[in-house]
Amino acid sequence: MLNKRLVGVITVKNNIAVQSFGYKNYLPIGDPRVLAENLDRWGADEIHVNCIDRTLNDQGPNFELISDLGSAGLSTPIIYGGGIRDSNDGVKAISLGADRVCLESIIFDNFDEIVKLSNVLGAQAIIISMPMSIEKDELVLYDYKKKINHPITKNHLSLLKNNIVSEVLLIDHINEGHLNKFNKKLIDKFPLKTISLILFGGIGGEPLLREVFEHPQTIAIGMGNSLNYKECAVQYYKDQLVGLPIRRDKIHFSGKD
Amino acid sequence: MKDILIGIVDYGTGNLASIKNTLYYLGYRSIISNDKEVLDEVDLILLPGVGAFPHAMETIRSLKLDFFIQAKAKNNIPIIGICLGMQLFADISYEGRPTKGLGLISGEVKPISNSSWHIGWNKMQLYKKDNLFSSSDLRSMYFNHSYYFDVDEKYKIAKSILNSDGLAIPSVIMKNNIIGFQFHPEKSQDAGKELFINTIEGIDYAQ
Repeated sequence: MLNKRLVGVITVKNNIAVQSFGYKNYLPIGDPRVLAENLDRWGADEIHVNCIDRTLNDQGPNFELISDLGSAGLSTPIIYGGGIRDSNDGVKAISLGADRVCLESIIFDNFDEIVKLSNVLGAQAIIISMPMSIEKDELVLYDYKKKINHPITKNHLSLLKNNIVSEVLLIDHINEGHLNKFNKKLIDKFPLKTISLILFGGIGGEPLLREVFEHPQTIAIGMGNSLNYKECAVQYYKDQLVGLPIRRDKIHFSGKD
Repeated sequence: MKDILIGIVDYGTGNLASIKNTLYYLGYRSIISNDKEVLDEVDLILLPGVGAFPHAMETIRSLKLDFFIQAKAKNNIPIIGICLGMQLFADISYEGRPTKGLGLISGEVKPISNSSWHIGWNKMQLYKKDNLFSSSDLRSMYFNHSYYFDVDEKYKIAKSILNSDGLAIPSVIMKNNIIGFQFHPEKSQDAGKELFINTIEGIDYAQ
């Protein structure tokens, strides 16, 4: 049976891994590669590297970082997000070391390129990021470039209904970085009930972790800050999820003799 | 065991660096190329994954690598296909539009029914346990695909169960010296590394 995944999220700003609090306040942690190596060693199911300033600064993807991660010998799948402008950027990210790409602003800026990218990479390699909140009891999407909320767009729905992308990274951007504050209403109000969701933002342990993992639409949980507080944090949180369909392999193999 | 050189075929969309670096960390020499003269010198040909079938085959044909790979298979040169790389072995794929494959292992690539995606970690279950994959039985591997290779029973080495309906997809296939993994051993942590090494070391290089 297919397992649900615990995804280690590395938020990167100015090339430095940071702890983020609602995407408003940041504390530096260090080298993103070191964090990725830790998550790889600890047995994270996927690693999401999210470079949050690349689009705002019009810098394009952080190919240097992707290449650095690609050459690190990591054997955990890498999801890369940040600054992807067109299909060429997406293909290059995969060839340098990413396994999947996560898209956000391109949905507003260059929609046709997502279709093109899907035709080249396959939809399974593409995730869309949707920072959401509840406003007047309605689900709204946050456009971080314009800094406004609005309803989910036709473009988003089209990508999902037509299987142009595979999964949604549903971010509680308001509670991101705040322990166990994830708003469960975001899942309940998500309009498409068959879409697999990766939940992120304010999920840091029992009982919320188990509760959201058990939701049938949840395919993965992303954790950021919580994984930086202790050694082997991935295994620690997986131990809290006994009885749920998650992978619990031992980590011990080093290479050929 | 001689010092094996692995040729990673660059057909434009694969996760080339991931494969090459995994092989490097496991202690193998490899080269990324779409040049037939370069690939003619390698001991093992590897078709990487990540990508859509029609685009990949279009590139392979434009580079005239289809005839080259088919000739290598005929001469029993070892070939490993990963994810999409394995599906390229098929006669035809229905991903997007019907597209002819390399025809190395008879079968068709079809959409997974009742489940659009097979993304994440799942166990490979061997049909027979006396082969070079035996230590990997019931180990979890990383999958990322939405189409599967509907292949003849005699080529199936392992399956993976997708859902509670018992839907099974072939996760390892083999015909002579042609081996396909539907999952990504290079991204399956310890389980994948061990399988990768056992496969590369256990394959028959005699020509």
